[in-house]
Amino acid sequence: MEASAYSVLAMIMQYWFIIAILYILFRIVENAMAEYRTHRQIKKEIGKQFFGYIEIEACDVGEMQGRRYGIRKENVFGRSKRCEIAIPSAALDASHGMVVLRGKKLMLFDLSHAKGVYLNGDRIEKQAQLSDGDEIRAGDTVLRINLER
Amino acid sequence: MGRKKPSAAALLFIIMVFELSAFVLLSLRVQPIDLGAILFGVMMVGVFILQYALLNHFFPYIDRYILIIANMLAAVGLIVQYRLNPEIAFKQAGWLALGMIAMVFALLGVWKLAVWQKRRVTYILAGGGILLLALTLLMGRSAGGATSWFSVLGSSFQPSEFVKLIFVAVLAAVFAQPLQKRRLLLCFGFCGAMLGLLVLQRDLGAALLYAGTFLILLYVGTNKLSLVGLSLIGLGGGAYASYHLFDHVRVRIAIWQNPWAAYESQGYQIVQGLIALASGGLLGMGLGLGAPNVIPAYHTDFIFAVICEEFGLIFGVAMIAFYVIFIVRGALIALNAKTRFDMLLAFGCTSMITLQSFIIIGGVIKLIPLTGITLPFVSYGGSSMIVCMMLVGVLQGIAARNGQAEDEMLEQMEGNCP
Repeated sequence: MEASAYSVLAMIMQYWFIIAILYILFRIVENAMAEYRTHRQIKKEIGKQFFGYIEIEACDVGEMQGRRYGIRKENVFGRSKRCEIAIPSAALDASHGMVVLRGKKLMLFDLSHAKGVYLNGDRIEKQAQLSDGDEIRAGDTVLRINLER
Repeated sequence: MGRKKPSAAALLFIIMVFELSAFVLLSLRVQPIDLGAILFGVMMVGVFILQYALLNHFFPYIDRYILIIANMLAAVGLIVQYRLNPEIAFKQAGWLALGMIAMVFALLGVWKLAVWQKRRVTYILAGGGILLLALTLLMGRSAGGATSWFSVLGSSFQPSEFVKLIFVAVLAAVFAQPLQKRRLLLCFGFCGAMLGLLVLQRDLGAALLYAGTFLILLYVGTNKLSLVGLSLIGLGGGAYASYHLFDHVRVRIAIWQNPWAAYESQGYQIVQGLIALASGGLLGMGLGLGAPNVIPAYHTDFIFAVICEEFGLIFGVAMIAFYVIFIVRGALIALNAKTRFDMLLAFGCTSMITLQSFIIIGGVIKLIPLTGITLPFVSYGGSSMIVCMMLVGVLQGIAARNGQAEDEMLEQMEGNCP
């Protein structure tokens, strides 16, 4: 292309370059903000529902072993299917025990008839407070408390 | 619940059109049409798209916008270098390809290896970094007033670039631990040795960059303003001493205060840069219509002046904005990090890249004294390109770790409703 024609073209193209880079900038900011919003939503969700989790460490029902359950406000464990943590083990009562979130405290309740719930090896009287790493034993099932924060 | 990401297809498309149109324009600059330019542009765009797609496929948690910004800046660099001298652009494209590979290794190294916090590794890294700089001082080759190049197998490389990675890793490992007097003193000694060696090499830009990164990491890592103030006094004292001890520091300050006084000699570069900025104006002269060859180091340190001359100041400001977004994204990765070490590492990498861009842009526009340093991703330079890509890789590795941890949490949460 001739030099004069090129300089005209280059000057016209100049406007396109400027518009393009500003548009790219705008799109990057907009996309990044949208992604940030969804990410914040996800984090909120995790924070809201996920105080920590209860892991089944040992169980006479093999397939249940290693499962994890997020801690909700009320977490009943037992043989019944209605339980949040339903473990089809004959050694458990239908509703054997319950882990409850009260404010920032995590409490353990014994709901069983006679079999009892053991916290770190000791049988509990009706209720006890839980903390991170505690071991709950009920029948042949061992649950471990894992708190995130 | 999966992690839905907004699509970046429209963004990528407009970036592609932008880059290709620039190369088409460049191909029309000569008679007959330079088909090589179009081919170069198509290949460059192809490599970028391929890299983006592959990384997104294999590492779904990486921060896409940091990747897009790095690629976009590298593309602008290649366009300007092709316009200056196609040979340089071909070489730089090779370095960029190497940098992309290095980035993947850095990503995997940070994501999968957990050795970087071990005390022994930190000592080895720190010792190796000091040794590398000391060897450069003794046996290095000088260029542009700085003794900071090493010749290996015919191609020269700049150790102070690679030591950046070591510097960030060591500082992050130190500050991730609880504060301890002995450890802190060792760390100060390490930084002092690094800065001293860089000043002796006359690599003032790198010294300024290391000092700035050190201050940022010190503040983020210890949260003690008293320590930051103390090291500011120390650094100020060091700067004052080097002003009186070394000629080259005095010259830099003098030409910063008034480059026109030494227009024929040392101030020539800055003056030419300023003239280029002024003649470009807001809208620029048009790609290929400027006169960049009169600025010394036009394809490395002063590339920002060339860009502003031909593309205009608005374009230049937009490029600065890209670096600003880079800071924001890097800081978000750091804030999401699950361990202190990860957080400090992310902050260190982000501040290394962005401080570097501000030091050189500030030098070119005569805001601060000019120190020879490259503009990250844009300037010509093999070591610089590879290390910048590796810093991005480290950031992406931390982002990958964050994303993975969050997804694991989400999965456990889903265990609730079988």
